[in-house]
Amino acid sequence: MARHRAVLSDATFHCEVNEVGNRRQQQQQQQQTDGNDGIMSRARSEEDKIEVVTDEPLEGNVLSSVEDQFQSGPAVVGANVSFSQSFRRWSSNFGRSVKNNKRTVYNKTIRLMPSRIQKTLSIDGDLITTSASDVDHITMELGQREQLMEDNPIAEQLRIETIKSIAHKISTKRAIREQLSQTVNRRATRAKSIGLLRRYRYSAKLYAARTAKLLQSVVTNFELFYGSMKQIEGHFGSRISAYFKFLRRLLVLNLVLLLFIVSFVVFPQLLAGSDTVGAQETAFHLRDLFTGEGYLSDSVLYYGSYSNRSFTLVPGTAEYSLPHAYFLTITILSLATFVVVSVSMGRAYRISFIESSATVQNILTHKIVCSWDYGIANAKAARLKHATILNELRDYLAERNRAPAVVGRWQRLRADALHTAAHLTVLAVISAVGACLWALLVRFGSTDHFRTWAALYVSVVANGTLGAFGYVCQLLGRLEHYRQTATQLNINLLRHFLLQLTIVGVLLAYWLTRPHPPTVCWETLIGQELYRLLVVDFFIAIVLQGAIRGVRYLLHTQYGSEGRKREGTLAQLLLTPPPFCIETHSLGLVYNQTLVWFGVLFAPLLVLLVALKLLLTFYINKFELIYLCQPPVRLWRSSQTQTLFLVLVFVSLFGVLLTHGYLIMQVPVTDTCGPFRGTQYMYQLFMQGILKLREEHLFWRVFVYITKPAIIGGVLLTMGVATYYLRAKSRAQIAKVKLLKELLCMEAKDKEFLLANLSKVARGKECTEHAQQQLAERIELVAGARLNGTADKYYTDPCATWRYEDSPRRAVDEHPLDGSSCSGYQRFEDDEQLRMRRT
Amino acid sequence: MGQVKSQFSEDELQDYEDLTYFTKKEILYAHKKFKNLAPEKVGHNKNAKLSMSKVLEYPELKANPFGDRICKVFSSSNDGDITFEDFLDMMSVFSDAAPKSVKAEHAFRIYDFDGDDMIGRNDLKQVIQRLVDYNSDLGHNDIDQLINNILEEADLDDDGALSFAEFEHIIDKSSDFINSFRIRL
Repeated sequence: MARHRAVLSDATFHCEVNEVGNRRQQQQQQQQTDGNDGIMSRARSEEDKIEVVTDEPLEGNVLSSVEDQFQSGPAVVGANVSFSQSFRRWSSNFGRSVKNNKRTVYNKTIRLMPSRIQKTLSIDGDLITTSASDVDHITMELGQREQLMEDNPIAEQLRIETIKSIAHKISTKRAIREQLSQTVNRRATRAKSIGLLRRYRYSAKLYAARTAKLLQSVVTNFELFYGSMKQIEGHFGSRISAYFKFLRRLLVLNLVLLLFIVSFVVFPQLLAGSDTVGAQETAFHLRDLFTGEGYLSDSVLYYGSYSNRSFTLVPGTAEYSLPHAYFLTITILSLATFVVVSVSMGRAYRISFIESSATVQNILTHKIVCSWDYGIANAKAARLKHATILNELRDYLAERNRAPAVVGRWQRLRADALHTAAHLTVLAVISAVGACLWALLVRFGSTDHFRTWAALYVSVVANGTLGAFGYVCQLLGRLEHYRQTATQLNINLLRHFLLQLTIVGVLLAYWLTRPHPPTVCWETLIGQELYRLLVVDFFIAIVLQGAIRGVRYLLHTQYGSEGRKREGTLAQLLLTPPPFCIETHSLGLVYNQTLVWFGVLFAPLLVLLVALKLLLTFYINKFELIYLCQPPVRLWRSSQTQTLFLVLVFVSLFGVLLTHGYLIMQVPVTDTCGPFRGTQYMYQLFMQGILKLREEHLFWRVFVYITKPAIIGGVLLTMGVATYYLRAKSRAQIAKVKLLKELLCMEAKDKEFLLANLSKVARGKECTEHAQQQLAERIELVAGARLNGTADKYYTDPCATWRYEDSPRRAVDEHPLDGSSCSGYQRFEDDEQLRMRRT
Repeated sequence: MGQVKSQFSEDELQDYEDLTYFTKKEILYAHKKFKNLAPEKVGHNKNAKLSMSKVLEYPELKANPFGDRICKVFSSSNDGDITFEDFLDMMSVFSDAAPKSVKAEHAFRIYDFDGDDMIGRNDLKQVIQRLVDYNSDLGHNDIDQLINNILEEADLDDDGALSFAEFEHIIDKSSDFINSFRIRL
């Protein structure tokens, strides 16, 4: 393989010299006839360099053409070596892979595809983007890949994918594809026919690929809210649309859950008819929609009204056991959601935290390159974005220029004390809220069924505190100054989340520990309470706060000019247009989702409620954003925030699953209602009914053994050791990266030293043809030595060390023609020109 | 819808689908949007070449400070005039399905103002000025300092300019790039 590589590179080397040399001669002559075009500042064009230095376009014609050829030699060496070097890098990486499965081939071909081939060949200074040689070169490269050139459908797919990822025009790609298929056809005519088994495998894979594509196109066809998302993205950028995407994802999740629940649990129950003992025919009041009581308490909304028998839905078929269906559906759906959420969270975490952990060193570059949001389609949003970028850059400069704050010991102590005080305050507030809620529940929860609005007290208090807590946190944030806004916002987020957890936890603890008479269906009670919480949350968080924002907006339009006059006062705070707070809304979504997951065991149709709620929330938020609120001026890194929210969702889901596990195992079921009547614990139904196990069974004993604390402790310990090992490995790699960077700098210095020496040596010699030849040889030797050298690491680094020939350090600047991209070789050549002209 | 579909044959659509990151439906939608820029001209010739000023009326390109650079990079005749194939190419690169390497390549070309395959000081200066919309609040000293900082951070071999490899290295490390370098069709 190595020999093949060397041969190929030499071949291209030679043909390139001739080809480019001829081309340059022609162009040189043409440009002479066009006359001196004036001093153009295109640094890379050799002819221009000649024009600039000599200022006599016509006289040095013959000489310059010779020089030109001579000059094109080493320059082509440079350019061509880059080409063959990048090709070599690609092919060496490819050859190294042992497994030739599709994924490896994909990674090695497409991801490392040297798209820079065309660049390095166009030394004329013009970006001649489509030329026949490009197509040929790329085709030749691709033709080396065995996997791509086979004549089966899989290789064809791979070819299509590779061609898609080439960064050229469509016409170029078309030409490449033509040539490749011609080559493939030519080679394939000599191949034998494939066997039957292989043909079946190919067709199976082809069908699988086709169905996957069809599914994908169906999914993208039904992209919900496409028009709204486009509008939001165009007006406000991708960071705000990330929030709406989160909302849409939750909505889709809920709809899928709803589909399964309705089809397996609710629908059969509806068909079988109600079977509650002593059904009371209560009339339907509008109030019942809010409190979840009355008419609704006996409907399929709640756990209590599900029967525990199995019945036949369609006469003649097997029996459909409703309790089993209920249990299995809920548990399988919860586990599936958990898996999906954890996988997406893991992926998002990897992308936004681990892979970009090195960006702490590249903050400014990252800011410059990634700051403009290409999705903005609106002049006002563009102006806002320009202003945001300006602010960020100014902040950055101020931060850098500010003298490093010598933080005295007292000040640090004071800052720490302030932080601790704030944390303690928050904790105190949260515990106070918890205690208050508990007291309320004890006071009001003693009655079993509420027929009046009194049922709503608990929910109103809970949600009201959530809303008010937001303002408290803002106030606290103003008092304690964190150096970085990111920390501030993360801490805010965590505080809110803690409050939510506390509220949910208190409610849970109360319902589970309260003693209740056996006639009362405690599961239904929990379901009702959750229903009330959700409904009230909708009204308080969305409707009420939306109204507040509307009022603020109206005030702003009426009295806004007055507010601007009084800077910094409370009046000004009130009279500015309300900000659109993404974190608050996202936290609200997480809260909702937690409640739903918890409640799905007790009230299956809560999912429908939440789906409706999310739909309405989407439209209300969109309305607020477009008409009422002002989008936040300073946004921090959105991908990390999105990941944070996913983590919060994961954590709450995990907590919910644990609670469900506890409930299923340890809490006795009510005897009079629900699908699990007759068994003491819920899981017993599963164990006895489905697995048909008894207590003495082997599996049971194994299961009990496994769940002993010692075993679980051992498993956790192993996981801890594995985590430590991986962390040590990652640290070692970080150190390695640092070493490699230093190596790069050293090599650049090497090159500079070598070039300086070469020019010194060359200057000392006589100027003859022979000298020129020798010089050319020497350069070839050096370049050749580099080419065939043992130092293979030159080829593995793709950075501009070869480019270095063209743009050395500024310190070596002797002919500062146009500053930035003077080429070292060219300058060296210019020296030659000058010398040769003088002689 | 039938009218648009009849302009393209099934083969052509399949051809475009193989060469870009779009499905057939998206290609037809892209053609519709292209046609909105100049209905009569595109009606005559579905692969008509529109001048840069016409193309810059497309909302996302109009609001973009690098709009003219984008047109130049994707134009097959290198003068900024865009045919439908160029437009399709452009939207395909900016779509969600395009991989990071393709996007990084084109971002490099867009930010390389003088076309010398390196992002030098002049290029960076132009980029910064365009990003702040030539606001005078950011003076020459400030811009120079910013450029120095950028080169300090990103220029690994100290040659005074960013090569493609260094640029790609930065892009690889950033997760926000994909989110911001995207135009929804």
